[in-house]
Amino acid sequence: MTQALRLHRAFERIWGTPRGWRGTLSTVNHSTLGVRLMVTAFAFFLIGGVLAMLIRAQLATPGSAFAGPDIYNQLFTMHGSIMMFLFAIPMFEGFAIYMLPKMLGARDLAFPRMTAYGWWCYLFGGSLLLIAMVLGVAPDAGWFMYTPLSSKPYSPGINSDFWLLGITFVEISAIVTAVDIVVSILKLRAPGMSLDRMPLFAWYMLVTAMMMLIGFPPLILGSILLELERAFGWPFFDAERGGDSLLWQHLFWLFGHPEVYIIFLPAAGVVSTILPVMARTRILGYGWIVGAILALGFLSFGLWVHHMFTVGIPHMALAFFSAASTLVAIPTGVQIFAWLGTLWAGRPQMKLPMLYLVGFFVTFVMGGLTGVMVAVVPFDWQAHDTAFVTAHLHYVLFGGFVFPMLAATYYWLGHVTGRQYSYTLGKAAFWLIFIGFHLTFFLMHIVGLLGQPRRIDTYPADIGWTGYNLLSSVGGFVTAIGFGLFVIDLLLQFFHAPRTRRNPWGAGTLEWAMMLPPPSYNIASLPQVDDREPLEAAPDLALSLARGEGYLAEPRNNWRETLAVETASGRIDHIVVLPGNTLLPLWTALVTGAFFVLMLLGLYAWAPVPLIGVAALGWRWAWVQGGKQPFGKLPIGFGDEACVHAEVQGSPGWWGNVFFLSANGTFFGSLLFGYAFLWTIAPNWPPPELLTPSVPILAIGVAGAAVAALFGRRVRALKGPVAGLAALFVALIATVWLLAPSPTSHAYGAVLAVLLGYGALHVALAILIGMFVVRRRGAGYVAATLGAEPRIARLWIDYALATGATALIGAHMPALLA
Amino acid sequence: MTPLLRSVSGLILWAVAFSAIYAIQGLSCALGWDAIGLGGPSLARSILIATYIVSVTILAWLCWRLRPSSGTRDFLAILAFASSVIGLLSTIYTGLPVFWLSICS
Repeated sequence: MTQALRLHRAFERIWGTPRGWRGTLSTVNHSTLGVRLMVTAFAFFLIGGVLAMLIRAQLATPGSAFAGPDIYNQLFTMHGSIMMFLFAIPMFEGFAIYMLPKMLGARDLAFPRMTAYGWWCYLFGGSLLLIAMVLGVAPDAGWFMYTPLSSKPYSPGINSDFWLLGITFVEISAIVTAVDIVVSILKLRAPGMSLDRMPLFAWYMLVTAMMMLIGFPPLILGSILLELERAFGWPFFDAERGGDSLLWQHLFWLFGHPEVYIIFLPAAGVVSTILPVMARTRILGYGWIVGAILALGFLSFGLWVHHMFTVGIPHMALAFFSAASTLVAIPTGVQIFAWLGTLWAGRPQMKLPMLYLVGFFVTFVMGGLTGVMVAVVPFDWQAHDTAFVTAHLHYVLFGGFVFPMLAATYYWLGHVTGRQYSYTLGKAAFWLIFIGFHLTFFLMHIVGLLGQPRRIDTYPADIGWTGYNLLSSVGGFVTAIGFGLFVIDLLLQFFHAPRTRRNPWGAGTLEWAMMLPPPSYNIASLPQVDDREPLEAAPDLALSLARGEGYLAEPRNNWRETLAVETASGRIDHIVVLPGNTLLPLWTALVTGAFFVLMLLGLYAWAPVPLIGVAALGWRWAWVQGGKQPFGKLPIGFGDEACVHAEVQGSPGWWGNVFFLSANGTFFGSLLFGYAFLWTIAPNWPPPELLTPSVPILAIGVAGAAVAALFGRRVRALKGPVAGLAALFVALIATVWLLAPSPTSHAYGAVLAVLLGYGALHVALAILIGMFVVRRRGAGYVAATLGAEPRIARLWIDYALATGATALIGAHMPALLA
Repeated sequence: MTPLLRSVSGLILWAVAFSAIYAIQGLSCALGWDAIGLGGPSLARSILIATYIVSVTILAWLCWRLRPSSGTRDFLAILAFASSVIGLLSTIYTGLPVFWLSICS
């Protein structure tokens, strides 16, 4: 038996997924879950596409009786929501989950159970929306759910609740996946892969995932607030009781604009990966592109008000956002020129992925240019809410995301299936999609400028829009036929194509240094990387890695091992022992789902039960990890040694908590923004009645926070800080229970309830985590004595005391000063 | 982590300056600072211009501070300098409206 085969069998025993339904439900393998995410997202894309066809059928002729206005509202709301939340984001997440470890020379992502949990949450949350659609009660207030249209008086049915709860459920998946991706990119790379040797796709995903951590919390907050208003009558967005519908718009677009770049950047990463291979050269301007991505990541947060140019905001504020909106075109332009330069410098071949990239260039550049047009305030005032904007956003998203992902499909499909591409149907599909798309949406620019508003279900025959709409609809169906061909092509390739050879495109990145399709463990040994394109210098790397001529080549203790590196330099830091297959993610997702279903059914009294269940499962989740025996330094190959992650301070778990808490901090920051916004901008303020201030309660809380902050810091003792937090908890609960005005009477009381509730919840969580680590220490777990667990508990304690004290002081101060 | 944070420090400062200027603009209107005259420009405009100048100065200092030594090949150091230049230019450009546009209408 050859060495490679022996290793393959040994690793497959450790990393493989058992056959049968139990294996299917319990797998945490990133390749399996990545493919599942992509297939699910594609299914949602087809559903969203069918809805688009129904929209175009309705609009093809004036006065159409195809779908009434009520159904039509559900059609366009579901089309937008599905494409944004259930197709685009999960599609690139699935792609990143599948591809990143392979490109980075790792065996899996940092948190495999979280990967699985994310998929289940996405599947269940998305299914809720589909159930709503089948029952005929799908959301119908538009995909950005503007209040007061989506508030109870104007949307009394359950439709909007399906959106708010279903999408929030899916967002949980987005947040955990983003943490997973960030930590994997920063820590789980092949030895020697310093940040400047990282494939560009990893840079794109690093920035994208960071943007998700900052961009999604405002939307989650907005959804929670709106659901609280709808369920319990807490008036955050009701102007009569001190709320403001503009608060929803701010929170939504604080998410919504970065979202466009969150969708575009992974696709641009795909372009930056495929294009140089097609041009048979290296990417031009690696450093310039990294700088441009970072600039985009930040600048794209300064654009959100450009969706609100017509709501009556002062000129100066409009100008800030108009300036930022035009500015953001520059880093995008830098990338476009880097790609053009790469084509110029290389010897491009018009293979199928390249054809789709040409489709991307043409379409996306046009979308970018109309973007600069609508960034200019006076033009936007004319075009706002017309079909022109619909056309612009489809050029950007279809051009900037769908075309690159189609290119990616043809480029990497052989990687997933292990078969080579051998049909020409893909070319016909391209032309149908390309021509169909431009026919549909180019005309929408014109009819938009002629005045056709978006989202209308019909229009008069004599207004001059009929011809454009009919041709748009024809174009839409041509696009759909193109996608039909694409699906047939995929099936043919999947079932009939011959086996592919290794690295069919002659690429230089590590994902091609393995068997195709990839085995469960990716690589039998980890390479030492000293170039951005390791396969260029060593075309036979796949064979030598399979023979075990790299790091961690010998399986030991039935562990799923991979290496963690120092963030910047890529020097070896420690060994990560990943968890194996388990049903915990499925159970946790089911219990999480139970919470959302109970909320949806209005069974509010029962809703806390699954939350307690999630806490219990979370406890179990953390408890089953690690052991009681320290191993010290273990050999990893080439004479090197490293500790396992349970015995180091900077384990992936620590990093994961840091990034999770930064997302959480953004949530809290958005809440404070909401409080300040309502206080200064909303009508009907100041509130009729302020909180009754109590100096003793405030003093108890602040003293508790001070004890938690100051005690046990150096020796990592936890009992003192936990006692301090308990005092803070009592003060927060007493304030909300005894001192604050009713949350239903005025937005002031509602905001206070959420602020203090948030503080109390996090203080309780930190107490729980502190107790967990104390118990683990007592039981003798290595990670709780030598490892990062006390440090993680300290992180949570610090976060909880800071937010809890801020909430307490923020609630008392205005009343004390008044 | 610190080198990575340093490599985006200029952009973080842009975000801080942008948010501060937008927040001061909103706050000034809510508190009526636009109507308080200080001889020449209103109180609101004076504070906005002062914030703008302070932000630009800090970012210019950061560019100077992070300038890479000649011939360096340290990727993150060059990135840090580039991001501070981008931060500086972005702050100069996005903050320009403080000088002449109407603040509260």
